[in-house]
Amino acid sequence: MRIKKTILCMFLLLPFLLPARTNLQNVREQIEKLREERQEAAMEQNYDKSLKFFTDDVLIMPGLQQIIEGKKELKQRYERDKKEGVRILSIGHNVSADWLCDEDYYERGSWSMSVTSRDHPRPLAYAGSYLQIWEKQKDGSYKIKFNIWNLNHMP
Amino acid sequence: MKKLALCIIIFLISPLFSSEKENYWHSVLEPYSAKLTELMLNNKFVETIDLYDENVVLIRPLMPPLRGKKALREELREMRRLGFHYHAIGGETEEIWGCNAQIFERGTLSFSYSTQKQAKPQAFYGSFLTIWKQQKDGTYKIEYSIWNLDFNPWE
Repeated sequence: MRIKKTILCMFLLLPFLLPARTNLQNVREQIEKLREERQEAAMEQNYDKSLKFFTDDVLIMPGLQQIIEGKKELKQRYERDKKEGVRILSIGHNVSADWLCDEDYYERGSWSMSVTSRDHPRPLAYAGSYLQIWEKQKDGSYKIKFNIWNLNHMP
Repeated sequence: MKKLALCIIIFLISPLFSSEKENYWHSVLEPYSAKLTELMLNNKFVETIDLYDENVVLIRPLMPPLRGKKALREELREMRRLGFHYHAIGGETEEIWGCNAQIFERGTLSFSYSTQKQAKPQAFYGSFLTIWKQQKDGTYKIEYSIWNLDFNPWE
């Protein structure tokens, strides 16, 4: 009788336990797609498209640079990159941990990038770590609302 | 009409709940942050080890990530051996929030230090995000911390 009750309890709890797992997997797949689109936009130097991946009040804490507060400031940073002829040659990343907090998606890991610019026509390569938060929007999509990154080596 | 009034009241007082929540998380972390600062200012680096989770990950700027308590203990001993001395530690928590068994704290930091070899103090400032993880005994320990410099020391 007790076993039957336990099985019944487990059966009743199953619908509450399963969505949590599948939800993370679903969001992860959604983010992976966005990440690819964002990388594509960055490689194409398509700054307008790149801006679409951020919330209006995005907060970015970059390494060795001042904090970027809001999409407007981010746009200014992109415009500066454009003037300096910054060209991204490759982008790599590795997610070492990800999870959901409320409905937002958190990820942390490492990244790498190679770039050229007018002042540095020979490629420069960088690598580092990051933590990023994707905020769930009203329409169910995700946008980056917070990012902190640094370099793991001397530039 | 009554329902509308109730909705307006809830809407107006909801920010109070959010700031109250933030105050709560502040009060939870306050003793740990105070202890960490006090120990570091008194050059008791190895004694800070109890404030870190077993699987701690520390992402410091311009150096590889540090993983695990064992690696951290060695680093803290090395700091002591090098005659590391903090002169000042400051900073501000700009946002704090809790989720599941974690507390997220982000803000700005500043510090100055000297070593036996470098007697003249050096000062740095930057941004950070720290994740505190609740332990089985209910206490909180640092599970992950990433910080960077908000300026380029070579420019």
